[in-house]
Amino acid sequence: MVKLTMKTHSKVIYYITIGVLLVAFLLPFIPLFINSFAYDFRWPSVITKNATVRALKYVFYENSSTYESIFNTIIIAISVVVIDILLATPAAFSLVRYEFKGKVIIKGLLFAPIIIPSFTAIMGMYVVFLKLGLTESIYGVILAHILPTLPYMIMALMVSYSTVDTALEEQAAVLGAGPISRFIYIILPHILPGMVAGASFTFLISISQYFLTFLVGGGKVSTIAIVMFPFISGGDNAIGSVYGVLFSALAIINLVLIDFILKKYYKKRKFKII
Amino acid sequence: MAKLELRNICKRYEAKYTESFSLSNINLNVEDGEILSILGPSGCGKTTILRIIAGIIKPDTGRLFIENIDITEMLIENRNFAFVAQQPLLFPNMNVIENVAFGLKMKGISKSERLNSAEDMLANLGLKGFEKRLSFQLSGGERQRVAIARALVIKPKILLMDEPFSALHEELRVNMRELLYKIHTDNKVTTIFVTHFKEEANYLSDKIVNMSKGKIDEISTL
Repeated sequence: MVKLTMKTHSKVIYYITIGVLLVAFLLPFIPLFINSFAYDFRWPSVITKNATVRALKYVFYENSSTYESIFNTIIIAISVVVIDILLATPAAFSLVRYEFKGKVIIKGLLFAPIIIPSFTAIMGMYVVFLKLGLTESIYGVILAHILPTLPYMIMALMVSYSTVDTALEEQAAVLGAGPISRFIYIILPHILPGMVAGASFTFLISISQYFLTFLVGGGKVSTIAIVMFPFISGGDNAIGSVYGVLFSALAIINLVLIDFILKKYYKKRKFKII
Repeated sequence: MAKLELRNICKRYEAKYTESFSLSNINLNVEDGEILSILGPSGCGKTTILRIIAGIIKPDTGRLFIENIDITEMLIENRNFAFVAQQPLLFPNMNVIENVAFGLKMKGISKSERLNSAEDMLANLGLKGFEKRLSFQLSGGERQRVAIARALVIKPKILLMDEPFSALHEELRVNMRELLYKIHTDNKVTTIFVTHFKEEANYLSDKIVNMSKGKIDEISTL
């Protein structure tokens, strides 16, 4: 009887916790969602009196740059993720495994964008971007996005590398595995979750960039953040809200997709998740 | 199978807060198909010798020869040795058969051939039916047998064993010792076996090396 009561008790606590978390997560979306359908929705009204699909119609039918901006946002974010992985994988490996002169300085420089706003660096780099013809192009925007995202990828990979058992690598080497095979068969499966975590951070930070995209893209490269900004800064709240929902959907799809891929990978490899 | 020779091997470790350690003037001959055991207390340098032979660490001075060929500078992956450590060190992302076949895969042997060889080796070690299991689904003794199967299947020139049974309980240790003796009788792989159990060394070895404080005290032939 006591056992049963305890079970019910913990179940209640579980559902309350889930409920609180759900409300906390969904709360910001509720006004955003209401705003998307609102017409003449002003303070002090709590609920809009007139609903309209005007904003939806504008975003998805009338404004041709919406689809282009979704496409650009995804392409830029994916490219940044790929480049970050290619740069951060050897960088994190070196920082974890080797002791060398100037390691602290290099580490500091790599992590600097977390502390120093990345646009300060981009202001300096802008001249170089101009000379190389990278301004007002998607390539320039991709390069600029690497700056604020790379530290997170390096950090995630450094944590993963530090937990790889080097004895397993030695064992693989004795069995005939060269450095590349050791990386593919021993290290990569171990650091993959960290890589995926770093990739989701990178994706989210990249799609959120407004200033860097605006500065380097010069208004020619439209992303959701670029298209959305004029509407949320006083232009049209309803349209801004639709873009807000779209933006959030993109972020959520990214997280769900990554979660799905990870689970599928672990199921396929039948790892024991400790 | 091969003849191994160590000439004047030295290795020194400087430690900041603990006592420094050095392996000095190690000279050793291991004949073709022989089992040589290295006996000695913890920290006497037994494992260091094994790791130098495997190529995991480089000696400060001295040379290593296999069939009179100098392999001191040879890359670890090109030596065709096998190493069984105290911990089985099975790759957690692979099942039993993938673990056993890994060395063959690295040698570029075709999938069907390597899986057949791995299955045969597992059967030899009494692990038939364990092919699809993962490391955490095995007992300590089973894991160590998989590690031995993985080492033997590549037909190594030298089999290096670093206290492979010391983590097992006594009854299992005796069983594993007998199993290793049987395997050696069948395969005649040149084996260097590190242990701190005298009876284990006496049972298995053709030659016993007694070590203390980084030096060889005595080499006795049985």
